Amino acid sequence: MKRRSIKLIVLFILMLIVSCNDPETVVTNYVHPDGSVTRKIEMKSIEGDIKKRFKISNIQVPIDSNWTIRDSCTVDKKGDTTWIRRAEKVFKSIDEINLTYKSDSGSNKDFSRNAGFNKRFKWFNKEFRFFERVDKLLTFGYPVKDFLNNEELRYFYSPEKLKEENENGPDSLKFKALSDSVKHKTDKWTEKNLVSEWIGEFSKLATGKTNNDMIIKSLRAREDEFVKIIEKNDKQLDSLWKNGILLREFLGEENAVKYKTEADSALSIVTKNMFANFNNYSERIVMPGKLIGTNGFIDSSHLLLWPVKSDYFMTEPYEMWAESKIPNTWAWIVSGFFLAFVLTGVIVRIIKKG
Amino acid sequence: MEPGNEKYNKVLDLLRKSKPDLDSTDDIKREVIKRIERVNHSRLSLSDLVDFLFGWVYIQWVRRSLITASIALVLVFIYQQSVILKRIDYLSRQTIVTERENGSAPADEVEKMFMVYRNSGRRFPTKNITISEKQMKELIESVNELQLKYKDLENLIQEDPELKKMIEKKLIENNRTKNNL
Amino acid sequence: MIDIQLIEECRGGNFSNFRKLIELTSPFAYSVAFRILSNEDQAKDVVQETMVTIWQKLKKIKSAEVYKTWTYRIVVNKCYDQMRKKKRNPEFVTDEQTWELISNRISVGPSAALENSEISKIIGLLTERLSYKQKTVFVLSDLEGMSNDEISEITGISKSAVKANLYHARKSISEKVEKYL
Repeated sequence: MKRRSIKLIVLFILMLIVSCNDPETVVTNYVHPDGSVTRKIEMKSIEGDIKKRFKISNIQVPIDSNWTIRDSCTVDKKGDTTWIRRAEKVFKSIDEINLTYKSDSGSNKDFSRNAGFNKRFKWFNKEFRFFERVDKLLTFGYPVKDFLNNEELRYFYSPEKLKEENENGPDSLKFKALSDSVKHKTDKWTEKNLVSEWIGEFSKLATGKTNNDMIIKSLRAREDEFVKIIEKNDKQLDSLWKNGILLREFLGEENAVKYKTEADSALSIVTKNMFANFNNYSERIVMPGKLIGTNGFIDSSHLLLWPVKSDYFMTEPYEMWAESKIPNTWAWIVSGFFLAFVLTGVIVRIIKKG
Repeated sequence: MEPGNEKYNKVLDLLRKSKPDLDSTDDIKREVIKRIERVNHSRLSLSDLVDFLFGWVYIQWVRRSLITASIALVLVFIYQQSVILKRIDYLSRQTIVTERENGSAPADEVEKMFMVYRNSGRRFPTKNITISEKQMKELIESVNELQLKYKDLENLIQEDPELKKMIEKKLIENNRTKNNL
Repeated sequence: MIDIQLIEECRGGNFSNFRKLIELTSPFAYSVAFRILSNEDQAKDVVQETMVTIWQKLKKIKSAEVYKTWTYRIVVNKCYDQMRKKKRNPEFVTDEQTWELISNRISVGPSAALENSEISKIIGLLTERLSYKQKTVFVLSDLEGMSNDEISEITGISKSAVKANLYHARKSISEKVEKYL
């Protein structure tokens, strides 16, 4: 217990240390009809040390010296200084953005991200679609929508400010209850993912060994049972695993010894993936023409907004997309003339017949 | 006028009997036909143009194809626009956030990470430091002590409004000096 | 004689029949036009324009009686247009000469018909001070021998107005005749 407290405190302090250096970042993509994108990044930091402030390795999105950078600061009533860095760059195509993701040296460099753009000609309108995607972390996880209903899902993906507003608003009781429900269900989801991913990784590592298939099938069949064991013994998990009790429970006496290495390795992989150190940020998109669809939220300046958090891409790719349209004026004119021509012909015929 | 006005009647009689003489109608005929043909010709040109542009209306398959194409175009337009309008209407019911969102890590995310960490029984995977238990103990004790002292100090300041004002003023001045403002 | 059959034949676009119609219509159309305008060339122009108009609107004519009234109406309107376009013909030699001519012709007797130029001078002199409506009504009534109803239909003015205009016209002319003859 003492060791656990110490671990938790150390972890907390480390997180504080780490997060002091990470700026609050908002990325805005201004998408143009030709597929080029003007990317603007705004970072805010309270870090006093200029060397650590806005260090490339602390920044959540790829940025380098080729960007146009402007720095400023603000001082609030309490006398606290906030440093703001604004960076801007025009990318001629989506491929350039994807290249920067591949060569990223920032704090999220280990995460696979990419962007996409396409346009479709639909005669009267030209439709554009832009998306940014973060690939999933786990291979054998369950989608969160299997655990949450629609209202809970919406809450789950909401920006923090919106959650705060709702929980302090007139329907605060409802939203607090919703928040608790989402928390409880996502805990279950995480536990299930942990077990499922471990089983999946273990089966990969143990492939080829005798009776492997039987073991894997049995593990899968008992997945829910293992989740319950974890729930029940969450405070002693560490020691239970170390002592091999959990493993014996999962695999049986004989196999626990036989597959200990693979089991430990699988757990290591799982915790590495699940506990990936992703630094959150916010993403915004501004589309050309009139917006017709998105899975994002709309903020006060009518920009589309997505929070980007590791939860969102734990078991499924997280895609932030927006669609818009621009009318094809010439198509409208040509169609108008064509219809007028045919209509006139029909009228002429009616007159002549009459 | 009195009916018995003899002079008047005579004059009228003279005029009545003297009908204006149209020497020949041939000139008139010629001129009239000429004028009519001129008018027809200009009318014919217009008629020719109309026939040229809209001659297709007399060819059944062309007429039907063009009408079908027009109807199809109108239907496509209506369908496209209604789909777009529906999507825009759905969008307008999307949630609006009043403040700009920042990217800080929320408390529940930290909690989740703790839970996973607890379940895994492993250390922080990417940023590891090694520290002895004794050093850890000392660190914890000093943090606790600092926390208690800070709380006491805070209470003292809160209780004395003048002291509070003075300290706030000093803090602002210090920060200004630091930032060279 | 103008009959409906001839008119119908002309409706089909038959120029030769229409020439016949011109031949039959021109004399009475010319008579009215000349008496109103007192000018040969202008009267011929009016006749030509009238025939062209008739050709364009043949479809509207349902009977021979309608045709005649209709023709007179066109002639009267065309004469009005001519009068507005061109100046009044000041081709009166002198008033005295014209009065002398009238006096001579009256004394000669009713058998001697006037020439067109003489008719022009006399009517011009007698109707010098009349308005267009008064002159038209006078010509149609006292020279062409039409009834007030017919005149009302042709000119489009009411019967009472026809009577009034005719009264003024006759009064003016008879006063002149009394004075100068």
